[in-house]
Amino acid sequence: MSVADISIKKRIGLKLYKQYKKNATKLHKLNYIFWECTLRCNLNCLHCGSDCKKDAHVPDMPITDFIGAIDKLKDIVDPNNTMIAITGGEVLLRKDIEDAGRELYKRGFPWGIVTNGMLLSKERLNSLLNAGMRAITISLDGLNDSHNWLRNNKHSFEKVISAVKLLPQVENLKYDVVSCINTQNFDELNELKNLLIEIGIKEWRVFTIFPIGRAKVNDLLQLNPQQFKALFDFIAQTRKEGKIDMSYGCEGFLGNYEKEVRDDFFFCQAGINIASILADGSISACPNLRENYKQGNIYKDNIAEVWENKYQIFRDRSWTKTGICADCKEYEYCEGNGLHLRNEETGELAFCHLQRIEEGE
Amino acid sequence: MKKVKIKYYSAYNAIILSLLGILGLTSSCEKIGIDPVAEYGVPSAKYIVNGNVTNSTDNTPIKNIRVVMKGDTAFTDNSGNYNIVDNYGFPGNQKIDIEFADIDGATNGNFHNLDTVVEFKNPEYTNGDGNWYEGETSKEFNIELDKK
Repeated sequence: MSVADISIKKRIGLKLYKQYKKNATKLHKLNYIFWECTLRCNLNCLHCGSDCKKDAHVPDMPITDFIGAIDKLKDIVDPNNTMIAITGGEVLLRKDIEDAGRELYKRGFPWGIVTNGMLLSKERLNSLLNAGMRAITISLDGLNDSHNWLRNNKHSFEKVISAVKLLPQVENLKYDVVSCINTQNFDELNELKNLLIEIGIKEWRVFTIFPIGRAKVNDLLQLNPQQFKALFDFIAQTRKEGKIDMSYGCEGFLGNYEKEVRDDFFFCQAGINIASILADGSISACPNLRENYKQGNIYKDNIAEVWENKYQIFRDRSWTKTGICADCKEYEYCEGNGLHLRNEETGELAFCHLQRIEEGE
Repeated sequence: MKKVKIKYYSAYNAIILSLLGILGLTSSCEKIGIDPVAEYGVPSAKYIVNGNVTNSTDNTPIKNIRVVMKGDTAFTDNSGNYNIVDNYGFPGNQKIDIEFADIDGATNGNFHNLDTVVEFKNPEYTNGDGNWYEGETSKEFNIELDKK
């Protein structure tokens, strides 16, 4: 499949979806909130820092502070249709996540967690479910050696597999496994897929690692262009097989791979439907949008007013039409890629998916 | 944003999603009723409300009363019956706002509008998918409107 060879039908779809995105931006309906509940972590992953800069010296946010901020949103969100995704650091290092969950559940919010699985026992899972948890995402980055290499811990594979095996046993729980694909696990994709199918996992989301933070100086973390393209062919083929619902993460306009490797066309919803409350109280969009992307702080600002009146950098993306995006003929569908891949001060784009796939053809 | 603008853009996007569906490019937002998800889907359940709208004075059925519940709109038929659906409710006990409005003036009689709440307590669901979608539940909700 050639990335640039977009069919007429898909072009029409992209045109329609472009208008959909414009309308959604005008509506900016908040329906997804990340809470970075801690910056503490029990692993020291090689790729950490490519997405965010962790500082374990920031204390965990008290639950009353977080819930207080959520309560301020009552006039602008429909709780039943607003997902709260609790992230970290490692969420399960906090023993009081269930308390936060119960408060969210009482208010009608569905909530879930993202975890590395190291601390997910059957007992802890039951405790979370009893607090109303409806969704869980676990990271699994390859088979034994490659997972342990990336996670920098020789026991992490064994532990995460135990955790993953718990998931299919729970009725009415939405779960998926996410994997960061890199040079060390690339050749294992098929084996990893079969392992997940054997365990009973229904959904598998994969990401790639980009040259930011530690990944900038570690070539083993980044796929070469041929591998990068082959990954999308693998996802498209796996989706056709229908044994597991595999998809690529939410970033990057993918040309003719649009709708072939994800359910939806590309749409970076940061600041349009998605907000986050970071560990220090900062209000942002996705948790990996930090620094100048921050729009306020729950300890100083009313989060509802911030959502309604700020976020201009997210809702008018014309500033991203610089560098390689300036002359790109697909800009109208892409609008500068995911904002976490773009320096908000210089406008520089760290990574273009389309370009990298073309290089691999 | 003003309510009318919200309705306009929401309806506009619903049309776009329908067109994408016709093209065979269905979006997950259509399946679960909210905008595309970033990390997770959202648990959902279908709430069906049906009933009869009658004149409080003589108990006769009222035709063409507009019924609005969340994103759905219905009109009563010649027998005063209506059926309305919230496809994307949250599983569990629910209190859902429902509006009954006389929008045709004197044509079928002049009646006061009514904004009320339909309550689902310990709902039982059927036909869930064992995953995000809990299933559907229904309730009969009969209404009497007062004449102006």
